[in-house]
Amino acid sequence: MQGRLIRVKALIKKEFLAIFKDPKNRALIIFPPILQLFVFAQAITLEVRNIDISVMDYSNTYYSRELISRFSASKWFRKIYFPKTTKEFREDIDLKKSQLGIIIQNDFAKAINKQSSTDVLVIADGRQTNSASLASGYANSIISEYNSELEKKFNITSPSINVVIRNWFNPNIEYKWFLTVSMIVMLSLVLSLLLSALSIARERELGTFNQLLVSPLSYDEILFSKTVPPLITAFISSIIITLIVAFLFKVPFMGSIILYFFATFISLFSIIGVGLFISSLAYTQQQAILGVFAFQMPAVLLSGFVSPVEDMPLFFQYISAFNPIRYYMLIIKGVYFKNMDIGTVFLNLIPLILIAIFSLMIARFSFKRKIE
Amino acid sequence: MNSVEIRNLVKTFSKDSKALDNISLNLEEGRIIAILGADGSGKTTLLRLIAGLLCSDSGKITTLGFNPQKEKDKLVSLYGYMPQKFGLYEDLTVIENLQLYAQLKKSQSNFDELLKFTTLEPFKKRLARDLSGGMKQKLALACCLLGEPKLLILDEPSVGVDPLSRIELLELVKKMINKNTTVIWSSSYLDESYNFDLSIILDKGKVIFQGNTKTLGENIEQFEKKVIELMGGYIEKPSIIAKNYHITEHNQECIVVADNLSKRYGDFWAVKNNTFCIKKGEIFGLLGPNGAGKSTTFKMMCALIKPTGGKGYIMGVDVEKEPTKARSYLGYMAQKFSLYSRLSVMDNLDFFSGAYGLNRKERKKRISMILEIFNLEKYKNTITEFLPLGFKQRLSLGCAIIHEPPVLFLDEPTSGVDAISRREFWTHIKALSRIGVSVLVTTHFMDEARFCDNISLFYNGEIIALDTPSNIIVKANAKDMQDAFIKVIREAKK
Repeated sequence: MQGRLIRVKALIKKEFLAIFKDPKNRALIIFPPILQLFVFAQAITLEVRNIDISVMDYSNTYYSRELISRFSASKWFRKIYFPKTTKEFREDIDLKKSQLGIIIQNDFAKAINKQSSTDVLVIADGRQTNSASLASGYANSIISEYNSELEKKFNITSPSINVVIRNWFNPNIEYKWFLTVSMIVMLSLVLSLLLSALSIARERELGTFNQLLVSPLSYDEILFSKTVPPLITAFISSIIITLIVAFLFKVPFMGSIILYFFATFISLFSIIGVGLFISSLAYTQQQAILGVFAFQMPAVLLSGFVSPVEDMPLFFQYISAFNPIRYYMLIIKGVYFKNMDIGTVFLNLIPLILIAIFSLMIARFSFKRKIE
Repeated sequence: MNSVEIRNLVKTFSKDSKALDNISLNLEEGRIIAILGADGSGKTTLLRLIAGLLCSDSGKITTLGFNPQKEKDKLVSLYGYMPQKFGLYEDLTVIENLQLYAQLKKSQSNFDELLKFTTLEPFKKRLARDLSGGMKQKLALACCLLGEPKLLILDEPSVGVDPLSRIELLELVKKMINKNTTVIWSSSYLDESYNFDLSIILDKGKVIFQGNTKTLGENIEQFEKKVIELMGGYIEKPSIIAKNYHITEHNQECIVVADNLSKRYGDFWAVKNNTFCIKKGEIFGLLGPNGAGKSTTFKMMCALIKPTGGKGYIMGVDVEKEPTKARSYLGYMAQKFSLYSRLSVMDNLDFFSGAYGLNRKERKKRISMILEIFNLEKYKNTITEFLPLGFKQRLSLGCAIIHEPPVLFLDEPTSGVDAISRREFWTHIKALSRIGVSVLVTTHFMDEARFCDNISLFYNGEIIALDTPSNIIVKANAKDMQDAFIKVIREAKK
């Protein structure tokens, strides 16, 4: 027993040295995650601003100019072009000079004065689905606002339901909130997965693995000692990133800190299980990195980061049941933004623990089989 | 006429050491010239300079009448260069490799003839990565020979290859070239010089000998003595290793036992019924050509491979059943010194002593002793990667014996190391055997066989001779071990 403790301690110490002794390695572990956090937080936004529009105003009256001025006054729209011909109008959108086209018919003012209804045509660029739907949504809301003003002016009281929208957990729809908290998960994922996937593969490639195997260290001791250093490293890194998000980016932390870090620890453990499994299959570091890519891309895409799991086809929803990132993402966002209760957290931790146990078991099996 | 002329060549990579130190050479046309020396003596640097793949600091090189640094484009179609580790594309087949190299050299070669001579014809469609070491070598050589070059530059074509295959490879080269072709053949096996008329011996970037090496000594022993003298001499000191080495008392008759060990891959028997017993203090050598099953036997004895049949015991412990216990008696030194190259000398010793379960007090004592025995004190904090090769070897041995094992397994422990380091290494091993450590060793250096008490000669997975070195030499009616090896293997081949 005492011998086992000494052996495991020696290997864990060596693993830490292997990660941190090399200054280049050290720098790669510390700086890129923080840099990425800052860059992505600033650069990536799902909001659409600075939309240019092209307007064909056949009406050219007080009412139509009033409507157009509301577009130019809004914060979403930047430039307004007035093409002279339909051909020019077409080209503006074709060549992406403008992202939205508006056509106001020549009976626009007449219809308003008669208090009858009229149409405004809004053309959106369907090549960019997301910004098209957002831009036409903005246009829609400007037009309907103008509509209700006109109704007031002409004293028309048509029965209407007013929709009031409140965004819970992120009242001002700050995309930075959503993004930075997702980044905690992404960065911890990359670090824990890479460190663990490279650990056995590196030793195999450099030929030290056999040396390790002929020492009295057993498979379980090796596997255990290979789990601990990436786990601790990734855990500390995720604490630091969380602190940056909470204090520097000022994203309010709503849940229980203890629950949050406990869940982080279990999630990282599960990811490292997968990493060690990849490592046990790889003969070289290159293979290990390719294995990481093969796992990471689909795991992130099916995690609910890009689109909610519930919106996926049923088949992919089943697949994502085996995806540790899905649960990790769910718990972290849940605890961070809306103080997810302990029962729900544990319900989502169970699959993570199962994934960890299962992947470590096959990792052990696969590297034992390679020996025989 | 000279194919290559070199005047006062100097090349440095780092400030404090010169890779090549003021070298002047004439390499005559139509000769096969060996460039010999330990790893790190400057062989590869010299070859790369001749081929125009490196620029020198000062001095002058003329290769086939051209300046290789400035006129490399004119030169490339005239020579064939085979780098270390062969430079083959592992994901391409044999014929695709040949086609690629032919296109690169714009030559219209006859592949059929090349394939016939290299006996690669049946493996034309096989991926290069699936070839055995010997076949890869032949393929690399064939690629090199495309376009009938006037100059062949072969960088360690015989590394990790047994004496018989080395001779066969040289015969192949001789067959494939015409009388005006110059061949430069580098090697870290000094004894290989016996196969060549002309040798150049490098040591620490200097030429310490050029000419016919037979003038240095009639047999390998004399020759090695002479080389050590040329390197600056070495006084054999008794090893202090034994002084503080305690092995647990036991009354086992055979410390290491292989009982009918065999390993089958599909239809192919890598090892068949291998049986031996290594007694206390015995040095037991496993010799044989590549692919004979030495490594497989070795790995089975360490429980790195599961045997198809038979058993292995270390100190009476079944290796397969209780690997952890069996390994605790074992010191293992792997091929190419598997140390953690990014860590310091101290970190390595610390790790291995911990991996063998030594407690803090013992650890400190053993580490300081290893540092003393192997003169590693001043390299204590050096990153292992930057150690001179001889010191890497010492550290590797140090890590293997840190827990005072009664059994030592050494897998080609001296490959690439200079003559003095090898001498010193064997001094330690002999001292260990004298106090009762049993040693199992594999080697391609036939002169090292004389240090063994018993030798098992291996061929095609079977033992073809098991005896003392002198008996094997007498029985084969040979003049030395190398000769005996070649004779016995050739006999077995029939």
